[in-house]
Formats: sequence, C-alpha cells, structure tokens
Amino acid sequence: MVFKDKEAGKTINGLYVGVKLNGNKDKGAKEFQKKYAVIGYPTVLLLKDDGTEVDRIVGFGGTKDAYLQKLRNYAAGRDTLKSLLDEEFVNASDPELQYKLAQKYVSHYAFGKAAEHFSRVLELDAENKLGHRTEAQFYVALGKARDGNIKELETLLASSKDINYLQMGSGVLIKCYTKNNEVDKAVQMFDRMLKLSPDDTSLMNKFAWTVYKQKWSNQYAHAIEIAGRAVELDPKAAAIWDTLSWLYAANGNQEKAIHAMEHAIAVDPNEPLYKQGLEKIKGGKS
Amino acid sequence: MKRLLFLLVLGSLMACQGSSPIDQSTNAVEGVAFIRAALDQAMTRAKSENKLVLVDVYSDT
Repeated sequence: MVFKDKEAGKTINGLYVGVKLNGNKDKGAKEFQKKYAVIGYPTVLLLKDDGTEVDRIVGFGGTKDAYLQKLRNYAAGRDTLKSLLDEEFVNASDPELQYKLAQKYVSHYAFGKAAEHFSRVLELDAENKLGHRTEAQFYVALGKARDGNIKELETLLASSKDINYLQMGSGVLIKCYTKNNEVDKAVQMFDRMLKLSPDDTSLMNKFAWTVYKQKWSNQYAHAIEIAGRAVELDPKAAAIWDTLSWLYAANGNQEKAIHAMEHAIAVDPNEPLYKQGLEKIKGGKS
Repeated sequence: MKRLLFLLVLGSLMACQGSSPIDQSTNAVEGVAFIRAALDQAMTRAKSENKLVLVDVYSDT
C-alpha cells in the first residue's frame, strides 16, 4: 500500500493534505461522491483549497514510482485534467489535445466523456495523420454500446484481434445480450473470449455463474464443463467450487453439488455462505 | 487526593484539546498523515500551507 510507505509519506505530506473518506460510512461521504461523480473505489481526488478538482486517480495499479511522479506532476499543475480542460477552452480544435483529454477520461473510467473526446479526434483528424483512429473508433463504439446501441461495437469486435479491445468490449456486449436474454450471442461471446484466454479461471467462473444466475438451463452442461476445468486449473478457488456446486444442483445432481460445496468449505472454511449453501443444497434447494 | 483529581481532570482536558481527528488505524507511522473525514479542516489547512487536498475515497466492504 503506497500510502503506508515512508518515501510516499514524505512526498505526499509535503505536497498534499490527506483526507480518508469511507465512501459507505463517513458523514457527508454520499454527498461528496455525488458532487464529484465518484464511480468506484478506490478513487483519489486531488482538489484545490476551494474544492476545484485538479485531477483524480481511479483504482489501483502502476508502480510506486509512477504513482508518486503522477502526484508530483499534479501538484505542479502538469498533465492534469484541469490544465487540459483550460487548454481546450482556447484550443478546442487541436486533435492531439482532444486525444489527451479522451485518454485522461479513460484513465478515470469515465467512458462516456472519453467517447465524446474521441469523437472529436475522429472529426478533427479525418485523415488519421495522428494514428489514433482505431483507438478512437473503439471507444466511440464502446460509448454507444454502453447507451444500448451495440451495432457498431459488434461490427468492430467481429474483425478485431486486439485482446484489450476484445476484453473490454465483450464485457459490455455480454451485459447487453444477458439483459436482452440473447443467450446464444452471450454464450458465443464467452466462448470466443475463452478461446483467446483458455486459462483465465476468472472468466470461466464468470461464464458459469452467469449461466446459473440467468437460469440458462440449456447451457448447464456446458457451464459445468467450463467450471470443472476451472477448478482443475485452480483447485484453491473456493468461489468456483461454489459456482460448480450450484450448477450441479440446478442440473439435478445433488450428490455432486454437495461434493463441490464441501470442496469450497475445505478451501475457505471461514466463509459462512458456503456452509449455508451446503445446508440449502442438502435441503433440496437449487 | 483533591489535587490528584484536579490534575487528572486537567490532564484529560488538555489531551482533548490537543487531539486531532487523525485516524490512527489508517495513519501509518511513516506513511501519509491522513485526516479522517474532515474535508473542511483539510481545505483550511491546505490554504494555509499552500498545498492541495488529497481525498482517498475508499470502501471497506
């Protein structure tokens, strides 16, 4: 944790006054998060003493050195969202500036805002002299898909081989397909992703759990096979044993369901949900 | 005895006056000195010390 580090303490304490805010518990936290549009945890907001946002860092990630350099830059007013927005005020038709703003919003997970600026990049650099077209097209399509218009993203991903775009885009598409109960399309997208990342046990569990939760009964056997492969790859993954157990129960195999849930409990004996799950399954619930 | 009680009360009053809302559980000895959930106080301090405010919004759930 970078904030407990001695060097980080020295650097940050010299530039910032630090405040910890528990987003779920502290007084005024809800209002604060609404005012600054905080969308997830952890989010580190960097503010002027009048409350103006200078920039923010969303999520974990990056090395300690990179993190501290970012905080030094922001304290000096370099590369901040505010400095880019100020620049945009006088130079809105600069495509590179629009690109920097778009990237800044991507780093904040503010994909709607990012899509707006990527659209400007496409308009202002129609001949793709800066080489940002593919990235801009992806984020514009992603922005539309998040609003429910998935056609553009579907077309783009159908021919894309970029694993990053596929991972981000498939997540949004799967959510839309699931919401619309388009089971075949959702399963095809999962299968495509699993072919690209055959050892990704987290993705396997996501697929299997989606099948169980959505009650896609014609996919139970397929999901059991996928979850079974996942626990072979990672036998210490209690959550996947739990998924497998519920799938067996839903598919009418109580004996295997009990066996799988007992595995989950053996791996993580402190998780009460697995013990409760075992009781429910023994009682005939699926 | 009376004097001892007086000293105890005085001592506890002084301790209260000097206390800050720094959250010891999240304030590592050598790390960042965080103030707990006191934005107004942080803004005032930032102004007087010519610093920015760093707000770490987190969740423990």
